[in-house]
Amino acid sequence: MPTRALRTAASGMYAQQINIEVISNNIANVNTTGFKKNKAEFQDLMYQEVQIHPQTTPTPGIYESSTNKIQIGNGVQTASTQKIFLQGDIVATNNQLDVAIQGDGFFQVRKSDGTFAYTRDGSFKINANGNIVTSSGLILEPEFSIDENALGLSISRDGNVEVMETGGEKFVLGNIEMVRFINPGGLQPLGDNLYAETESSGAPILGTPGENGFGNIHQGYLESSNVDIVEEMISMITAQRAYEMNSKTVKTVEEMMQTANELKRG
Amino acid sequence: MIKGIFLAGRSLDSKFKNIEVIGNNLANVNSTGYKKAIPFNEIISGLGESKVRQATNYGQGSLVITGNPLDMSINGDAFFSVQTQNGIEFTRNGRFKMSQDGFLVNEQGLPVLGKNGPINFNGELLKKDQIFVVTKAGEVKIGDFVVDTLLITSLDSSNNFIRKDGTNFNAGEGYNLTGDGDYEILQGYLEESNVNPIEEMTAMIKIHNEYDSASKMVNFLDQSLEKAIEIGKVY
Repeated sequence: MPTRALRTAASGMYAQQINIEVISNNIANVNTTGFKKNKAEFQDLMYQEVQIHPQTTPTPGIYESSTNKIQIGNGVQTASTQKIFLQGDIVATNNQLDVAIQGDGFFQVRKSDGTFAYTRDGSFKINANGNIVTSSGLILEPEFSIDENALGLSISRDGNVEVMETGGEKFVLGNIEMVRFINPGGLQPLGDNLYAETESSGAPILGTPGENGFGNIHQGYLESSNVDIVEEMISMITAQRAYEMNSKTVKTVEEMMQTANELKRG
Repeated sequence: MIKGIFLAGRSLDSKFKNIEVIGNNLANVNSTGYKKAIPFNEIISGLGESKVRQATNYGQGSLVITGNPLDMSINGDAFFSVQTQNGIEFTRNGRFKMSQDGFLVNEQGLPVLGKNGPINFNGELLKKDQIFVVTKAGEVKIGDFVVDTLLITSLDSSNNFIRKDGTNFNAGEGYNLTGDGDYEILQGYLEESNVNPIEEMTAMIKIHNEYDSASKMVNFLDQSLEKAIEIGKVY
């Protein structure tokens, strides 16, 4: 029984199901600071060469082997899911430890195992030791330690961190360094708004905010999620319809098989 | 009459295969760079022989912004070239990445070709604070340094292209290696599948109806044969 069309349609339905899963994750993260939306990527499966018998051969039942070959595909597979690193909207929070990146680049944080991770989420806090940390408690690199005399922090656009002391003096604590990747789409999402480098993202390129293609740092602002809810809804509609269309293939093939069954009467 | 049954039967067979073609188009409605396969037809060649002919619609798919610097798409009539073990293959899927040894590769890990062979970013270049740029003409640059120019192939005799998985095409004979075609390379965009679902659904309905007609034909011829047998019955 020829079931290629059924398997093709099944692969299409499965692909759309993954598509819906990716879209629903985007929608769930519509309010996640620094979230970058995902897109599922699909590619076709291998093609098979199939012989078609011309309908006008001189003798019925005898097929001439000629060049009457066509290629029929076997459906679709999910190639990958891709992060789309478009800028999210910048929202004012007036919180002195909230920083947003306008442009390219990531903050560097050190994970508990000592390796680096990268994030666009600049909603920083200060931990018990006076270090600047992310919401999940990972220490920003290079490390800053702020003592109990500090009244306020000011961070300039190029990442210069200044502390105001109780006595009214100011002094420079250091510079926030940023990291850029030649192919940010290749970064591996770790959850918690963190990314890890991979071979396809390339090695991290260190730099100063505002220089050599790095974005600027804005204190008192946060970068919101770059998910556009209308766009996601439209993607959801098209994915659902594409799912239905593939199910129509199943139905059509089923009806055709039934017709074939009814060819012989009695 | 017997021949008629065979003809109708073979029509059923080819309609079924055409549904498989359409099913594959519908399954690939979201595949990057996919080009729609047109259901095949029988044509009569110049010599009066019937031949089956299959065509591909190479029409432009819509371009979607991704903002990823290694995503590229072609606006116009041309293909990217990738190196495989069996020669060069062509693709419209410009979702490229960087391999560990610094090569620009496609989704399947095949090196993308420039005019001077596979494009390799010297590791030294990545250490400088430079930006990766691809110009509309296909020049691959890091900062101001031109690494190579993408090998873009215009299609000459489109019917010789053989489909491969991963939205690649393998050229038969007679392709034209030029950079002079009418195209531009867009960095940060990907080309969507050019399958139009409405066209596919209409084609599916049409082929389904043709299948039904052919089956009616078989039934009718069968009934006629039955009558003919009855006429010859000896009482």
